[in-house]
Amino acid sequence: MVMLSETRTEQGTMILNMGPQHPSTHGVLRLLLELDGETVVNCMPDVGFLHTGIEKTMEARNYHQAIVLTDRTDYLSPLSNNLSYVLAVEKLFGIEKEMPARANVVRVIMCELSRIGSHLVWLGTHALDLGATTPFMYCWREREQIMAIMENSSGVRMMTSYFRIGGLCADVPDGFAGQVETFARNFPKRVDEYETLLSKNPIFMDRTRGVGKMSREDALRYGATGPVLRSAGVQFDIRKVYPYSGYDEYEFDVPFSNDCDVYSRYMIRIREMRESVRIILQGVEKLRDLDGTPVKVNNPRIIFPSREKMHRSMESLIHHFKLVSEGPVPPAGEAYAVIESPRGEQATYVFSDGSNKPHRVRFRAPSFFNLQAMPPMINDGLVADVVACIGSIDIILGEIDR
Amino acid sequence: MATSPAQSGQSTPGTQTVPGQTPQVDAPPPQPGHPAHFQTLLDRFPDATVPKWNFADGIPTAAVKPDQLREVALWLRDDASPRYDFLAELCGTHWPERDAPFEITYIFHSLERHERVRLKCSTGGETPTLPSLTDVWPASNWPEREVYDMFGVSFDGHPDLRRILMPNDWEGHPLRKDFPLGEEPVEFYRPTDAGPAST
Repeated sequence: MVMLSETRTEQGTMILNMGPQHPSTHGVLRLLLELDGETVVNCMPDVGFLHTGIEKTMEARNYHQAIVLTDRTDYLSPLSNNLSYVLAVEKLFGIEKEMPARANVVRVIMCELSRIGSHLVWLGTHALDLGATTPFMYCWREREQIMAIMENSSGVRMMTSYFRIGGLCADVPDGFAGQVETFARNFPKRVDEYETLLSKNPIFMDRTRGVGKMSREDALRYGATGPVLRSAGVQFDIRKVYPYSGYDEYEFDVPFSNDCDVYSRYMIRIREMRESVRIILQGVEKLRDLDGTPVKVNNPRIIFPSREKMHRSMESLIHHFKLVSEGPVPPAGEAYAVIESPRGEQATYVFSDGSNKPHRVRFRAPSFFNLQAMPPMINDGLVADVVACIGSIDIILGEIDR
Repeated sequence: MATSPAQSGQSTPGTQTVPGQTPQVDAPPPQPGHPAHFQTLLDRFPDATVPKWNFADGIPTAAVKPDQLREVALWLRDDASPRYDFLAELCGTHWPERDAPFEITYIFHSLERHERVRLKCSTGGETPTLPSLTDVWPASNWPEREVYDMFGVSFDGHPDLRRILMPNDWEGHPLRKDFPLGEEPVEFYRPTDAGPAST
């Protein structure tokens, strides 16, 4: 943490402190800006204000209990974190190939819904930062429908913890497919509405085109992923490169751009929302074909016995008690599971020592690396463009600080 | 992302292992041969070894000595085929029972063929130190600071080795296994050297 003692440097530049309590830093990000007049000479991000020790806490929970902590890292897309964590543990167990098709389809639908939800929050706040207040209201209206779907299936709006090691916590409720389909069929029209407000809006374009340039080389050197990397002309999407949960069975495109600026990142996310709708509609089709099939692997080492069984058999009751109190115990080893979260390559790295608690859990947070890549984006730009740049990389401080 | 044959998945759960002890893996899964891009690394650096450990994700892994780390990283970036142009992950782990208890893991990615390799580099002693990769891979700047912050591993040649997540005046390194969890009272933190400008 850098402390400010001087506001003026020897070179005659000024140090400006931005944040951590600044509405457009999207959380508690502190930026130290070295300014020469209106021009940013240097930008030093300062993070850690939201550090809650999630990785340390997870070492004291069993594998099952640790799922709820994963929600709290990237709080706008909690299902992505759930997924990468359970995928890592499933790899340790060696059961990722046994996953029932229905569980995979529901996982994909839920992840794409949360991608849309996350992009909606990004779009609303990004536009708000740049002075457009209306899209914010519109985006929240659609996000509310996604929250309703989440609540309907998992019981919780945000911190769902819906995915479990070896499947889902429960099958989706009746009418889920219809609810999702209605949303997905209506949503492209809503995206059109956002686009009429922003895409050709001269003020928005002036504020975003040619601003926050980051070259392909810089993006790669600093480890940026997701829309930030794709805006620099690299068509890199984990869903295509290392398909997980059956993403290889879906048809979708990976939007990318060569413009490297804030506007292209906006355009990429808008198009990603449309691609997500495509995936969701294909998923709903698949889901209808798979009605009544299981959503958990058939593996008593991991999956609780059913309620009915527990009512009838003492052994099942003991089994359930053992699984709840001790938790599932994967073999010693390590597994790195990577997924494409709304912000980029999100991975969970689980180290197991063969006990019932993870030896170490590490989150590879895309925002952490993307934020690291921000100074070259901002340097030599104007102070007013800093908020546009922060908005365009879509940081979540919860996953940066963990 | 499996690049090597998938794990058999038939290993029994390690219930017999006592938590906190050095884990014993019965036998590494049979390796009929390394993927070609990884074999070139092993051929080029004969000192690099393949750890006997269960890598359930199938990413080929080599353990290298600290003094060779920079050389391997540079080779991966500039001369390997395919060239690795992306540092996907850098993280630390603390295994207190090992001779070199701090294990730093690097995962490199090649955008050309979408292949990955993982490097492991361990260190220990009074002041655990590793060479920094920041000039080779700028992406390793913040992750190295995080490892320094959380594990107390220093990186030689890092341009700006400070704590990143914990406060500056924090004592200890939270992710070390000997750092207690949950017993401390809540600490209210006030910066001691805050100048007038931070108001």
